[in-house]
Amino acid sequence: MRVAIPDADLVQWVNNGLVNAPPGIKIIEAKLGGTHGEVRANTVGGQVHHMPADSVNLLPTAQGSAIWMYTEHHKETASNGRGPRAVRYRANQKSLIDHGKTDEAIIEDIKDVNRVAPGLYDISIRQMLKKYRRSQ
Amino acid sequence: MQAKNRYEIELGKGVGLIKLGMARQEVISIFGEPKSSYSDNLYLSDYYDFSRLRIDYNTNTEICLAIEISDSELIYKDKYQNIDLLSLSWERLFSWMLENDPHLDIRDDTFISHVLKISTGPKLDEESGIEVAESIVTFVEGYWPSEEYMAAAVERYVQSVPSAKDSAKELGLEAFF
Repeated sequence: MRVAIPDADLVQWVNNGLVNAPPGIKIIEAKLGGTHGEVRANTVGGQVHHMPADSVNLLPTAQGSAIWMYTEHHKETASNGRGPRAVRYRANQKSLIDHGKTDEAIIEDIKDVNRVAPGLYDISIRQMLKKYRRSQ
Repeated sequence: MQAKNRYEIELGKGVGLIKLGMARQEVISIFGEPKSSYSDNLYLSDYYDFSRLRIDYNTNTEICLAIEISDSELIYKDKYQNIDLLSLSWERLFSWMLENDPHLDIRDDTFISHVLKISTGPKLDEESGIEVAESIVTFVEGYWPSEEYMAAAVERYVQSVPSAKDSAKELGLEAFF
């Protein structure tokens, strides 16, 4: 029996081995990483984190690379917010992209997500990178 | 889940019992230990209330420089003209800011009023499809570095950032780069 569960929390836990799926139930690996549009369409709640930030990545919002995150983790990412740190971080990312260093910009975002929640989003990040590579 | 606190914002002065200029230890004695903290060469930041409230301190002196709130449910009311800033549409909030400070300091898509002592910027609310403020930061004078300082920092950063290939190897993601 295959069941698609649109609850990103549960899928995230199962995919990270934190809980077991009920006997006889196969949890389909959810789209927790990819383009913003597909991740949002496959999840409920939480927030979808653009990598790089939506304001600097030159793509329409739905097409930017992104992963699903718990809201409180998303709030702690360096690009989130309206203080000088977030403004400087987004300016750094924009400058990397302007210099043709989009890969570096994405890697810096991955490091930042790992700073906030080490290892928790590894599967989502790999899903996002697969999609990102296919779009190159 | 723990109930959310609700705060009264006084622009340029503080949020609830937390006043700009307070020492970090004093804040912790009121608010308790933060959920998480992060520091760099700009600020030491403490996160509270599911990270919807952030307090920035001077990294060296640990004096409170700014408070950012990113959830309108956390706000009881704003003392400044009794306007609930996070509940306004972005258009109205921006108009209100311009009326009170025609010389906004604009950094990318963030708008800073050194008169009102707030910085903010728009985001699209997914449910309503309306642009609202992503958050409200209230701060003390001197919190925002000059544009020249920020630009120089960005230039240094771009020159020093490691290559994607090297970083990917460290992260075990070399297959993608």
